[in-house]
Amino acid sequence: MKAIVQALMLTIVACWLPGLTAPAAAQVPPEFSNPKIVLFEEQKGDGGYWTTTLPDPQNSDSSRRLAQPISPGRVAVRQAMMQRHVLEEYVEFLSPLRLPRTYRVFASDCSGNAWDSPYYDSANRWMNMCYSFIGDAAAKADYLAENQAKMKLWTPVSKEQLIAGLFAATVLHETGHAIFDLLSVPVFGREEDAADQMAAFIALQFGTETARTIIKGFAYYWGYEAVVDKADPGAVAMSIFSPNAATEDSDTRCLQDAFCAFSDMHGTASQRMYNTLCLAYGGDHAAFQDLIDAHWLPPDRVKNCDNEYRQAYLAFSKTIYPFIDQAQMAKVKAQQWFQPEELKEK
Amino acid sequence: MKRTFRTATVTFCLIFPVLAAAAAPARGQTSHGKITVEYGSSAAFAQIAADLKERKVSEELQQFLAPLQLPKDLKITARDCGAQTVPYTPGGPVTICYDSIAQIVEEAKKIYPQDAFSKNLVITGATIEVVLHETAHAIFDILQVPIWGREDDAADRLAALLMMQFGEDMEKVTIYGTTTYFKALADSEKAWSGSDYANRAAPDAQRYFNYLCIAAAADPSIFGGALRTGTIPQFRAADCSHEYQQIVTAFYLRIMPYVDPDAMVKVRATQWLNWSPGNAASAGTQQNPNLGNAPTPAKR
Repeated sequence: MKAIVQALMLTIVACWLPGLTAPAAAQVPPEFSNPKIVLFEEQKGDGGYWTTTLPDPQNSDSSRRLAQPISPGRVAVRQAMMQRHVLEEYVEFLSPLRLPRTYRVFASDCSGNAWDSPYYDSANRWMNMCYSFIGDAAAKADYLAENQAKMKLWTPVSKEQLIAGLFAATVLHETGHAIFDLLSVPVFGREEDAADQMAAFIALQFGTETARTIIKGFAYYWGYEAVVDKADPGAVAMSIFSPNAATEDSDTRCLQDAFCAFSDMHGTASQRMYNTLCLAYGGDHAAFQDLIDAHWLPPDRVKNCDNEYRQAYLAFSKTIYPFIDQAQMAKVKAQQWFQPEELKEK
Repeated sequence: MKRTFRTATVTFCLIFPVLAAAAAPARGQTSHGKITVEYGSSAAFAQIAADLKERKVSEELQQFLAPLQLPKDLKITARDCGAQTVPYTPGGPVTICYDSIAQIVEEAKKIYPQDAFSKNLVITGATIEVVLHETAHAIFDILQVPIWGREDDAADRLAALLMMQFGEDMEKVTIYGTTTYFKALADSEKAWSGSDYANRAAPDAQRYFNYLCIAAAADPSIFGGALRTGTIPQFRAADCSHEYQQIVTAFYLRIMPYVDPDAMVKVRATQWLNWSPGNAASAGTQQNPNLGNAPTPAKR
């Protein structure tokens, strides 16, 4: 079983983020290098793909204070990510961004948990892409791909497309946090919603196929959380928590309370799904008309989608666009960032 | 002594207490938009309309907004809407629905059927919230403020920031009134599910925590109890300081340049409330965990 899971992960990750013929060594091509966006190595030569967890000196669990070796189950994920040059391509993708401060990027076994997901750390100005996220994404993708009819997905999706889209969307969400921090962007709304908007907005700038892959990945993930994991307040399932969390934990109790659960700085799973879909439709009616036809957005919300996209466009234009090297951006937009099977509607 | 109070004082005075230095004067404008406030007549809510007129809320509102040097006119209209809100559309006007004030009054009566002071405190605070929130949309539009995140949340966060700029009496009235009202609505309404979450406005419970989080970070001496007692859970409490600093920074960058600092000082020096919630033993405010307890001064 373990071998099958590892093979699955290898296959899934090997199919993700294709396109560029990558050099044998883990390096960013000179024409896409950016001195302010660097691969953060734990050991010299690892290319930013750590072989350990991230040490946490403040952790109450003494075993977490020092770096621990990568979990055996995630070694294959690391290798697959390296083979696909995930970090390098991410750095290339961001190369047009003229940052005033250095942004470090790496991948690790994070806290060693199976549910760790990529995150941006503003104190250290780095992005940590957790290996375990691929496994979590793969499990959800399996379920969704097999239960499409039951879940009445507005458009078919393959496992490959789902994993690729979800991973890209998640990384772009964290990139949103990074950009807000590194560029001191004024954020009037809630930052988690803003980061979702950033991910969707960027997705919409790279053509219909890329947009649909990323939007579907994000929206279907949140739909899964809402419907299968019952993550919306008042319908919380234990599956979203650590299996070791004691029910006496106050934060856990809060998330099980229909009122307190709304205290989360993130929107609910359903809110995030609808926000993403609305922005997508507002940004490209033609590309996302099918989700409207399938009634995935209530009419009252549809009415405002154009405004929501205009708002995101205005925000991006005023706060981010001045920091983008347009010539470099043209090179990035000319690249194919997904493999054909990941863009293909099932 | 029975105290009277003013209702629905709309305040969009752009106080920024952190900056002791004078803010930059409004950008090179020789003329500014007019701010007008109008009352529509009301068949369904005649008493509310009459109360607002009697208390000269429009005059106070215009005085309060005076420091704001907008490049275009801002019109605020209070009227019957047939709904709780009328979404703001670019170009305005700002619409304050008598319907929403009526709902606030009704809800406050249910929360405090016997305690007139606390009831009126909730009415005042929650009404100010409505006006600040709706006016925020207009400000975003007129100044073409870049908004990341959902606009309704942005309006709430700006309103919360402003509530915290007028001293502790105003803080208590507005934050307590707002959070009490939202809590009551959340407790009584049908639980959200499915496509309810497609609403571009946030659920009342979410708004409750958004306001309280900013208040707790902005003034822990008054609202820190919400953090200490776990009213705001730890996973959110840890982020409140960042949320407050974020809205402060956003305000400073995008709105402060349109504020006349001399006019701002005058507005800030004005006594907008002629009563203090902190002096009311019967208000129940002292027991409100949202308001917290002021730290005991160290003995010398």
